[in-house]
Amino acid sequence: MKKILLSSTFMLTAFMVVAQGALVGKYFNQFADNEDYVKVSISSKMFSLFTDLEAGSEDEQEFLKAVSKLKGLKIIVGDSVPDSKKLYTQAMKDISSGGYEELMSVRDAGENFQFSIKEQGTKIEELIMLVGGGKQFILLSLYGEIDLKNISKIAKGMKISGFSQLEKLGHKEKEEEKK
Amino acid sequence: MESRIERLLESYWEGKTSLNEEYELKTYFRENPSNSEGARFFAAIHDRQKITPVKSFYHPGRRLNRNRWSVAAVITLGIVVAFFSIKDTHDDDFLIEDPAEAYEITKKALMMVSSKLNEGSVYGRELNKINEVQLIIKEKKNEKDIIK
Repeated sequence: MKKILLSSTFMLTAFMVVAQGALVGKYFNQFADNEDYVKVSISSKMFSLFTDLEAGSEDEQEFLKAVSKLKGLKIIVGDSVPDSKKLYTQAMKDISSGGYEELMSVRDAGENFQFSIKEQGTKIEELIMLVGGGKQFILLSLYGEIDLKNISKIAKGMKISGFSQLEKLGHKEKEEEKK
Repeated sequence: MESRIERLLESYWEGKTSLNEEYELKTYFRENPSNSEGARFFAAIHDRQKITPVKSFYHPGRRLNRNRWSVAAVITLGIVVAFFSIKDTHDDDFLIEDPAEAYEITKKALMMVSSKLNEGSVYGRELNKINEVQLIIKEKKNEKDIIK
């Protein structure tokens, strides 16, 4: 009986690790061949490398503190999506049916965004950010052990609009692909 | 022998016999059938043992164990299927392998998440302010109504 419990626990843990980020993985599959979307996945191995880095400034210290317990990141960005509203609504449904709990939702004239989380006990194990508006669509999944306080401090410290930076990332990757 | 059997039978009715003694009693009465109470009792037990039940009987513990194994097998199979169906994605195609690039992307992504979280909090604070003002207006209106 102990063996069954142990193996089931082990397999369940393995399944949960794989299941994290599965929602964005679904969209990776859907738009795998669509070059209008930039798809990025960062593994837990890479995050473990970040923890070996030495922080230079205070801002970097905050950043490294925020990523120290993260296990992975998946992003899909599209900036010329003709039916972004439809895609946004679909993603909202997928998030809701995926057992995520809505953390905050903002509906603006320009863009909508929503944060959802999945908790394990008292810890947040996955954070989903969904952004949609105009022709833009962003779906991001951050998993591991997430501390929202630490994450919210990053932008305050660096005083940079992260959103515009990520837009640049999308353009940069596209330009490289064209080359 | 007869006196020993009588003594054993007496102990048997009192529930004090060992398994070996019970076996001795059973064997004696099987080999020496008679019309005595003890002989009829052991003959009846012997006859009952020969009856095959209509429905097969399983020990509950054994059945429970078998059920547990079935449940464990189904769960394991489910997990394995789910594991492979989820794993069958294009995740690896988009994996960033250059640590410097991964670091930059993570930094930018977290900045975006951070700024959106802060933006959402600002909206929340503004809404709270509006709610507070509405509450004050409502209270003032109630006070005026009472004075009238």
